[in-house]
Amino acid sequence: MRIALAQIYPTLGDLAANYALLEKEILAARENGARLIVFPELALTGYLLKDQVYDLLPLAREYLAKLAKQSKNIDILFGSIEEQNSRAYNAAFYLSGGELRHTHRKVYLPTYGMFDEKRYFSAGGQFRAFASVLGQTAVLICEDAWHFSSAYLAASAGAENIVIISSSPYRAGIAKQWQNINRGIAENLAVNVLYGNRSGVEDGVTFWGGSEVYTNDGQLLGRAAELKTETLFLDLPENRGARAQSVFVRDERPEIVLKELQRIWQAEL
Amino acid sequence: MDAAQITAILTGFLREELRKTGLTKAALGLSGGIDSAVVCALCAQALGPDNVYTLCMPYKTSNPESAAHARLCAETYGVHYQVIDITPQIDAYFDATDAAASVLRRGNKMARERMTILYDHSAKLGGLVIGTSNKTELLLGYGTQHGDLASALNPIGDIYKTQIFELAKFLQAPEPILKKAPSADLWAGQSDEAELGYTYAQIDELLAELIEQRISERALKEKYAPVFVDKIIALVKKSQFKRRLPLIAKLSARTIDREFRYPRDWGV
Repeated sequence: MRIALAQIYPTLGDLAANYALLEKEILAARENGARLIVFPELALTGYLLKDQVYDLLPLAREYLAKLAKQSKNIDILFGSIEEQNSRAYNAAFYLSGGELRHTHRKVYLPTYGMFDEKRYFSAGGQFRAFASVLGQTAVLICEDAWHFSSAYLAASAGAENIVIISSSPYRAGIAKQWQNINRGIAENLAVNVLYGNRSGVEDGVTFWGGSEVYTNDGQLLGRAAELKTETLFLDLPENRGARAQSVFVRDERPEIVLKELQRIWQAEL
Repeated sequence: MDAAQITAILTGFLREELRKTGLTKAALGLSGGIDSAVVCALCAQALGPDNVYTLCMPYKTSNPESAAHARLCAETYGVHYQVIDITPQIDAYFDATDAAASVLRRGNKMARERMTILYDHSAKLGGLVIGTSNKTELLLGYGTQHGDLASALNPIGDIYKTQIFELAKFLQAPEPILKKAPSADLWAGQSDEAELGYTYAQIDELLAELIEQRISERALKEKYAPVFVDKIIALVKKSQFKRRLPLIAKLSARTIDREFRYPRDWGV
């Protein structure tokens, strides 16, 4: 199945410009025969929004509705901001058949080093699998993937595909760290991993790109260039063998995890 | 250090942050030293040499070698080059106000004079002033606030001095600039390392452990001479004000930069 990872360079805070960019990418991907296009974290808004998060929430809702209409002939996964019960979330939306099918709200909001997400966003509280064109799928947003439990829960919920979207800033050694995480998830949990990062520069921060896909046997299927804007088209093969051989799929004992975590948690309290 | 990757990031930074302001040109001072040579090379590569305007601004006591190296740098990278002698205005000021002013005050005045000239040129050209202060210098406060420490964009502020040499080699900086001892050139024969009392190699090794690895002062003093550790930490702390915007007395619920927080790229 053909998929597209759009490693785009959104304009910070300019939703009209970013909507136009997404629309152009969606049309091109559809013409290229892709069944799914994946955009990065906060693709509609840009990343370093700061106080603009609050300013842009109403507009983000309008563009979500417009993008849903674009999903009649191709499925779309993209990151944006979302207002829910007077709270702001860093969210990912899965659109299909002209409708919003699934929302993932970023659970782990980084607030260390250069990151300050908890200042602006509330945290989501769940990892769910949903039916996508790829089959059962779960979404992680950037920092979510750095907590191994996120991918574990997603796979336990039945996800056979994990789509990770990020706005990952360049720091020395970051590409290697991400590649280890992505490959580790694919190999250990026997899931396809689609990793969509962005490019461009905001406030002196460079987003490094390097979007990539691993198949459920842990093999690298393809990778976009670093530090460049690029749309990566890949044909994701069906590999039922890797799932059949996976000890995770076959032998995992979630009841032990549950019991032991409960014991550890109780002991800590 | 992956010099090719660093170069790709820094040229992208210069190109993109300049583009967002709607301007196309860069103005920078060439001292004849390695930091400004690296920034000159990065600007030429990012923007095209024809968009880069360099100024050499000597005072009468500046080492003539500095201007020669500045010219060599400009010729190497094919950028615009102009010399403006700042002696008349510096001398006029001190002759009229305080002929007994110290060398340090005179040096700071010269650094600020050069920066006002750079900002005036950037306005004339429709460009931005590109900074040339490296991470070591910024951490030690080894520069003049609102003088050489000023700029609109600084591509090398996260790179230690010893790494600047590596980058300069990759960018094929002229040999004489690569080889000479770093100097602020406030007076003839001045040497940064002689003045600081330690080599940049020593200082950068300590700073990397202190800043990047956050190794404790106590552990550092077991590895290095305590007097060296004390001196460097004191310099970093004492110069904190140079790395920050002026303090604003808080009164309202939404004070600028405390609660009123927007990216610099807001609205560009």
